[in-house]
Amino acid sequence: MQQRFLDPQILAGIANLELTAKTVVEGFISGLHRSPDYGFSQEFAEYRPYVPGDDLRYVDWNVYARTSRLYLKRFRGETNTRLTILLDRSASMGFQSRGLRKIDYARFLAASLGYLAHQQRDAVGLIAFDDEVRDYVEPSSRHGQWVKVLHAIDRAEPGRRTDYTQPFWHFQQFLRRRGIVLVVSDFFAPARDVVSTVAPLRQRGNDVILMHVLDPEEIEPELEGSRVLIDMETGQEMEVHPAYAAGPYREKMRRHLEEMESLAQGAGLSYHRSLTSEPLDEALRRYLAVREGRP
Amino acid sequence: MGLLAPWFLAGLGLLALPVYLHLLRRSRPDSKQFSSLMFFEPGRQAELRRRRLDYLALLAARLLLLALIIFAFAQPVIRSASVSAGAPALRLVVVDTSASMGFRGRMEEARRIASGLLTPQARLAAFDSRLRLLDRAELARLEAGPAANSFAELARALRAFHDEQKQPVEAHLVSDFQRSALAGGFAELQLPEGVSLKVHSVAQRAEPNWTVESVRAPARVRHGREARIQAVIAGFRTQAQTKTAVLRVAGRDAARQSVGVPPEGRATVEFDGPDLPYGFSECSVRLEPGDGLAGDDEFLFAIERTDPLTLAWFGDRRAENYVRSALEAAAGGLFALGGGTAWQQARALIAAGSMPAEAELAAAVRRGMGLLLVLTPADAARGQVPVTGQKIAGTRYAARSAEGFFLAARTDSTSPLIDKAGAWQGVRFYQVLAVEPGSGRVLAALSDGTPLLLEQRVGDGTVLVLASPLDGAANDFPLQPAFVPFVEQAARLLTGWEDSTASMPAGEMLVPAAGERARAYELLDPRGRRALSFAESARGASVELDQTGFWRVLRGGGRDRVIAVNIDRRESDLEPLPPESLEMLPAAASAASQSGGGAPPEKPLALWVLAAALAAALVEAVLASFYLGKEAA
Repeated sequence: MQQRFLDPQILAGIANLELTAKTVVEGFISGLHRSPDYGFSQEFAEYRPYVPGDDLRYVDWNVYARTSRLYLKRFRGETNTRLTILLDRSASMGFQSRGLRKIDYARFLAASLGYLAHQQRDAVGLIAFDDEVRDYVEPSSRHGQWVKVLHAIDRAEPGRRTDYTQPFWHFQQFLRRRGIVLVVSDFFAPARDVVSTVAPLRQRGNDVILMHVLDPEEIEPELEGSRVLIDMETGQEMEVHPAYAAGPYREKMRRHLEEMESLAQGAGLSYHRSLTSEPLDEALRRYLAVREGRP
Repeated sequence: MGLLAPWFLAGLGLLALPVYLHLLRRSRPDSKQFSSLMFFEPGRQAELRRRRLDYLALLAARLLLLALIIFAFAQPVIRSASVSAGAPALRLVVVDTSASMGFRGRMEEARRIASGLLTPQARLAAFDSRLRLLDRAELARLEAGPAANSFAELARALRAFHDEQKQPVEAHLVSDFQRSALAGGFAELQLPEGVSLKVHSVAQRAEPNWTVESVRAPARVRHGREARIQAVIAGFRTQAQTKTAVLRVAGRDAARQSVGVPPEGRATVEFDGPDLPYGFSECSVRLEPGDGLAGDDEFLFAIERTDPLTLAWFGDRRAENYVRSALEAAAGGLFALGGGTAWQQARALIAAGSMPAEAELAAAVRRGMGLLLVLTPADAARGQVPVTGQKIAGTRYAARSAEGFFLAARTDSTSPLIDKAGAWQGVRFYQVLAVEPGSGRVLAALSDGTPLLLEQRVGDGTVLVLASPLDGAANDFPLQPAFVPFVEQAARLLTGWEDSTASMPAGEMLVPAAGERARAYELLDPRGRRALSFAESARGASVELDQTGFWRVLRGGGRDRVIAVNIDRRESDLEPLPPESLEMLPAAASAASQSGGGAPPEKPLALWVLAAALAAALVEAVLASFYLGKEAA
């Protein structure tokens, strides 16, 4: 029942972005049957079974002595990481076939993850960019930070064309401390260029999550007849026949997505693709998985 | 090259439609915003451009097709040099002398206009149902006739006149231009090339007019007071009014009745039989008071009072009873069945098993006597039909076939002997003599073609051959409803009853059947002058009934006729063409010769253009089919 609050179509009906984020996160957490406040601080939160790969430093040996079973001891969070959300607000993010615009979906995603991080007392920051850095909120866990981030997300409207090179050069100036970097974009650029631009963030010790937001129409466009398509970023016009959209285009898009995923994994980046028609929980789950992996 | 209907070229604006559909709409299909075109390769879209070029071929075919159709509507012609090109136009002043021109003042106005048009070189012609060239001096004596005018006839006459003159003709038509005269539309007045038309109307508005539209009266009666006469009084553009209808017989008023005629309507007045003397009575129904068109206020007709027409009978008594009963039931005493001795005085003879000496009978038939031969088995034994000589191949008995009887399967419904007798439906024949018809007309036959009833002309007479006896055993014909009308119609045909036409409209041609002495007659016009001699009618000469009154057809042997000729009632409606139609008339009639007759001959190209359009349509169909298949693939 709670899962329906993660449906983007329902979220679009909620005017308040904070409420949207709260609804998403609490619905998600409720679905997990877990506390939203678990973390890695000294305040005990819960136990969970040990799985191979877990850091043995967190194994509760007392429990092991009593029960012969390995459990990790988990604690209520204190801020120990920084989440920086890089939100693509280029013109192409304004695309919408049915339901939400990509930028709206990306904002819901950013707000929800930001709220989740805020609840865990992580430092949350935001950088909105297109071909330049358009908005910057330095990551912090101070009082009022969440409101700043929320307002910055709220201001993010589709702007100009995407250029990863220039903004990411600036990011490296801002991201002096390690943390989690969440890049929310449609990545309409050659996959090799995207990854080569983002990969340095990973090399500097950040955990990088690439949230690839796409509209279903962008993957499988359906044209009833010849149409003139207008590039939302460049204004270029091109007449497209349905046969081309149904054949060669889909094949190119499929190869692009595969290449993105392959190159991202090769570069140690976490890659997740989200369609604007899909619920947000998988993105949150992916974030938590990355988040858990951090000390 | 020129165009007869250039205004159709305005339809070329329709060419914009396929251009829009092909180029504008196709080149600017619905646009749509899309995130990025990075995965669309411009090179691949060349296929689209190529297809659009392909479509241009289709577009060209469609444009060509449309243009050719429009061009064909514009009626293109090729004007070539004419033998008469440059020659001065001959002016022909045509004055309408149809009956409607007799309306008060119209003829005077027509003469005045014609006089003004008659230049020294101009010719004068009168026109009603035909065109007559007149001497210029006759203009002053020109009066309206009784006939109706025909613009189709005028067009034909002008064509002949132009061919004869071999120079352009400028025709000036002075007429009242009745709407009823152009009921068939302007197409009736298609003038030949080289003839131009100018119109001069003498009728400014629709005048009210009453007329005796028709009279229904028997052509022949046995007793004088048995004739009932019905007359229809019609009003055109009239108010309701009470009129007096006067029945006149032999120049004297015999009866009069008042009748209320509704506005623009009709009323019927009926007279009980007047006291008619023996012979032909010249009768009429006349309206009082008269109106502006006096000619149609009276309707002439003739009634003949006569003794019963005798048909001589030869044959057995049983068959005689059948025929006599049928005649008495149908014809009300107009026909009488007589004995055998004075058969030569009879108008017709019926032979059913016996007959006078064949040679004498054949001679009488050739002189004009009618003969009904009812064949019997004795005729089958002789092997041929008396008088006509047709071969009898044998006798067919229905009892030997599976049906048990024959039916009349093939009938000629144009003959009243068949049509008025219900096509002989239900009549069963058990015995039929198989006559080979030769040159005879088969009016009824069995399904295998064996004739049941034949009509054969022999000299001046008519012979009917019934191939089955009337003895009550060979068929049940005398007991069937078809028998009485058959006998009545046979009597009318054989005695010449059917020729008794009471009245005809003026302008009709009285045309005898050429080469048949049976139609030879002498024709006297209403003034008693011979209009046609025996010799002329025997040669097939015809005569136009150009005067109202009583025409007498003298044939001898008691077969005279009186034909009452009346003004054609189509002339009674005096409503003229609307002014706008009148203005269009010359253009519609002679679109090709608007230049006053100086235009060169024109060869129409519309058929060739349509042929080219057909070819373009085929190309379009092939291209469209090709591209459709390609698109589907």
